[in-house]
Amino acid sequence: MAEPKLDTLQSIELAEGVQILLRPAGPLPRAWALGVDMLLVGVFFLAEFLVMLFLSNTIGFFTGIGTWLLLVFVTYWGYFILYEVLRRGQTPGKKMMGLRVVRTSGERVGWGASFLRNLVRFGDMMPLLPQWQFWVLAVGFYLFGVTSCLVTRRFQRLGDLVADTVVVYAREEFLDGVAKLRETVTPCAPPMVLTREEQQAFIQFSERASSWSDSRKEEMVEPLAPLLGVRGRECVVRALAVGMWLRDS
Amino acid sequence: MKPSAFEEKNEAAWRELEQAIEALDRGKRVADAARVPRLFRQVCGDLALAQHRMYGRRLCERLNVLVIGAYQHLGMAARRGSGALVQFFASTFPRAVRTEKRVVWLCMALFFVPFIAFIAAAYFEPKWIFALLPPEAQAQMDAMYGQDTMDDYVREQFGSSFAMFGFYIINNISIHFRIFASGVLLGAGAVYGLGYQGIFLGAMFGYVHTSGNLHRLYTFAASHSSFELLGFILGAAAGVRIGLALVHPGRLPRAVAMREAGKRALPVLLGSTMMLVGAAAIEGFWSGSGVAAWMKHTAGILGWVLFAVYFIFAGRRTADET
Repeated sequence: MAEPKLDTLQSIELAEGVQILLRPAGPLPRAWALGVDMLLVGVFFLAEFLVMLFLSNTIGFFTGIGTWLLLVFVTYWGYFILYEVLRRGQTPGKKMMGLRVVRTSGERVGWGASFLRNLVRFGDMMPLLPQWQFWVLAVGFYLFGVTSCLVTRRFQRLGDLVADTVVVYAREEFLDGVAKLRETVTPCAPPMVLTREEQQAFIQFSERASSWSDSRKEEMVEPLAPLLGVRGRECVVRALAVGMWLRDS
Repeated sequence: MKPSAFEEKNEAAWRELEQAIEALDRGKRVADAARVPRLFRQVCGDLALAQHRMYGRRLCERLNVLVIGAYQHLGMAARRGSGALVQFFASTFPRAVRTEKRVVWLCMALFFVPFIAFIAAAYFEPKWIFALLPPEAQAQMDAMYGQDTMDDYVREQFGSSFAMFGFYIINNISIHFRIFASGVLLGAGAVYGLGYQGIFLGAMFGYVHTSGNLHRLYTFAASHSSFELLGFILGAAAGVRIGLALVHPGRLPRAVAMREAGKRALPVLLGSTMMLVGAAAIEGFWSGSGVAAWMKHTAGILGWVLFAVYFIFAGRRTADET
């Protein structure tokens, strides 16, 4: 086992010799996405029902019922699969939450993988709400899915494990505070030669500085005080200045 | 080189690739498709450079998204056309079933032992059947397969063959998917689901054996029986295969064992789902129709024989292709 990591980023090396980074999404944003999707499936059911009600005058009542049942079936099982395969891993709910299903290798999901992960969804959603076991319309607590998400490294539910897929953020949203810093901080060179990792730490500190409180920043740069020769607020400014200098040069 | 200069220099290429990916995402064609791989390789180089030179998260993240997008579109499997479907049924499916034959036999036993036991109970201990079937179920069996039921009672119930087909699809395949999916939970769900189906179907058949019209029951059930029962059993076997990978992963880590089991189970699951679609079509359009009873019986027996031959012999000669 490699040494424990600070973040959940998964780095994958492509045949092109470059590393891509995937950030797996946790259970909460995925639950929101699922909620949106379930709402949409419900809307589809209703729309299909109204269309069939309208058509049943011409094609006959029972044919209308039969067709509606078929449509409900196809919608319920097909919604996730069709969207995931044809929209490159994004159902409308996932798109709304900025998520995407990919294979653990970083490739897009295909029919087989999507079929598997969405069928196993039924196992993930156990235990079911007792009143909601009518035919296909099962709704559950996702006890197995959430547990599996919490114990796996890439937040995979059982369906993801079986299909070898992972749900990741489609693109990372973060505040780039550097532009704002430019007004108040003048870049300055570090006082000594730094290794790559150290340079990286300074750069990331300046990029993410705007998301922390002042006291937190001061706390973080505390170990640098002897190196930079200043303390507290001054030390934060110096660290930011070094980060900006490293990034721009 | 400063990041701003790097960005300026390559902006045109990045923008072009971004637009190409956006178009592909929306299912449109790209005017100059041959440029996409070239742009992809170039942006791969840019990303590697940006990472090495530590150009900051904003730039790296933009290129990261770009590379992933292009990679996902370029790495798409080619469409294989109708030949793939023929190959699937000619060899992939029966071979996958044979590979899993131990699990399949286990699932067969899980279903057929209680099923046959309850039919036998009709002759030895009918009270078992009465204890199991609630009165409403007994009344319904009486209505459907009683001594004096109208000929097309089932059809009357649903109004038309098509409504019946819709009902069977949604009901049977949903049960099938559920049995498969619950098999993933250590195999326990599939064992329970199959056993439950075996016990209740057995009790229902047994009930008709005690007091109903056997001829009507078997005439109705014969034609689609092979498709439906084998379909259920194979779907459950696919689920148990994955559940067993969790219980007994062998020399692999559990996560890897599950992934491998998923690959092995997929063709079995797909094939068995198609069998259930076939079963629903036969049940809706043929089993309830006015076709002569002997034809239905022959079709039923033929179905079992052909499936046995199919699963034992089909695809033995073809070389392994993937």
